[in-house]
Amino acid sequence: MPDRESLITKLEKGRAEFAYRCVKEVVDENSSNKELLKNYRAYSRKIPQMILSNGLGQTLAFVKSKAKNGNAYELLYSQMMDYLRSDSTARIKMPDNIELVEWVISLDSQNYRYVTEEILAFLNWVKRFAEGLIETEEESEE
Amino acid sequence: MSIRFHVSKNKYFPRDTFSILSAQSIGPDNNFYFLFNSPIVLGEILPERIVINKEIEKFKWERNFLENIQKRRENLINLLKNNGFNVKNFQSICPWHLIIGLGGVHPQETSMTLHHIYGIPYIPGSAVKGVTKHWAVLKFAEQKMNKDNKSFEDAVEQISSDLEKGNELDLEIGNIKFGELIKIFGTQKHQGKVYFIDAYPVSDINLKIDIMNPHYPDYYSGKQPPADWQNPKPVEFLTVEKTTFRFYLISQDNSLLQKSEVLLKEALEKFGIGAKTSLGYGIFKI
Repeated sequence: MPDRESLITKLEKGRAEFAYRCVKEVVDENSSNKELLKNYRAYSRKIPQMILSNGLGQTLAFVKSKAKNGNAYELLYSQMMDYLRSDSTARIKMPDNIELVEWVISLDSQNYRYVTEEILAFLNWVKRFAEGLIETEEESEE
Repeated sequence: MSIRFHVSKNKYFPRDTFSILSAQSIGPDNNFYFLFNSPIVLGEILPERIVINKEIEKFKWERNFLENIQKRRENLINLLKNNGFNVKNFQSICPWHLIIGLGGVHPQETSMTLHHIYGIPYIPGSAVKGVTKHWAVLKFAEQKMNKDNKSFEDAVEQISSDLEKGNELDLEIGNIKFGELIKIFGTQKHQGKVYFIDAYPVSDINLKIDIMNPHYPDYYSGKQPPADWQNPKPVEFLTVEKTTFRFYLISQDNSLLQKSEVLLKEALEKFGIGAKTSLGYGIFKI
C-alpha cells in the first residue's frame, strides 16, 4: 500500500522518473560515444512521429529491424520494453517471455491503443530529457 | 481498377484489425494515405527489413473524388474573392517526376507529403512560398554580387539576412524592388501581404516508383573509403509523374500579387520544387 500510494502521487504515475533514469543511464554509459548520443536524441523525436503516421506495430517493426550492435535503436527498443513491464503501466503488464513487437500485434484494438498512448507519453518525456541532457554540436560550441 | 493490398507481408496491426484487412481487397475507395503508410515488412518471425510496396504505383483515384476536392477548393477561393481578396491562379504540369517530402518520417525511410484528409499528393503552401522566396534570393544575390563585387555565397547570405530582418536595399530586378520582396514574404514583425495557397493536382494523379542508387553505400555509412568494389543498393521511392497542379496566390495588394506570380512561375520553371531539384526533379512547364 505505501508503494502504491507513492506511485500514484509521482509525476505522471512515475513515468517521468522512469524516463529520466533511462536517459541518464544512456548518457552516463556512453559519454564518449557522440554519434550514439546524437542518434538517441534524434530517434527519440522521430519515433513518436512514426507512431502517429504508421501505427505502433509498424514502428516497432522498423525499430526492431534497425536495432543492431547496441545502437540507439536497440537502446530505445529495450527501454520501451522495460517501461511496459514497469509498475507505471499496471493496467496491462507486458509478459516476460515474448518479444515486444510480437506482443503488440497480438493485442486487440483497444489494448493496442492503450499501449500506443503509454509509449507516446513515455517517449515524450524521453525526448525532453534527451534534449536537456544531450548537447548538440551547435550547443557545445557556445 | 482495384489493387490487392499485400497484408500477408505486413502483419504489424492489432489482431482484430489484421483479421479485417486480410479478408478483403483494397481499392480506390480506400484512402491512399493508409496504403502508403503500410509498407512491406520482410522477415518471417521478427522484422528484418522494410521496403516500399510497389503495388501502390498502380493506385488510381476516382475522378469524381478529385473533382469534388477541386470544387470545394474553388468555393473557398470564391469566398475569399467576395471578401476583398485578389486571386491569381494558374495550372502547370510537371512533365517528369516530382517528389515533395522525401525526407519525411516513414518506416521505409523515403516518404511523400500526402494530404492529411484526402490522402492525395499535394504541394503545401509553405513549400510554394519557400521556393519562391529562395528563387528571389538567388536573383537578387546575383545582382548584388555584380554590383558590390562580392562572391555569390556571400551575396546570398547577405540578401537572405536582409530579407529576414526587413532591411531595405537599393536593388531592383525586372520591375521588382527589394523592398517589395520584404512586403511579399514578411518578417518576424510584419506579416507577408501575399498568401501562398496549397497546390492540389487537377488532373489524374500518376504515381511512379523511382530509384536512387548510391554507389558507395559503405562510405555513406562511415565505414569504408568510396571504392568501386562495393555493391550499390538501390533505394526505391515514390514520385508523382506527368501530373498537373493548380497554384493559387491571394492578396489584397494587386501589384505585389502580380509580382509574386512572376517570381513563382520563374521558380517553378527554372529551379523546381521539392526534393532533388538539382537533378531535374520538380521542374514545371510554364
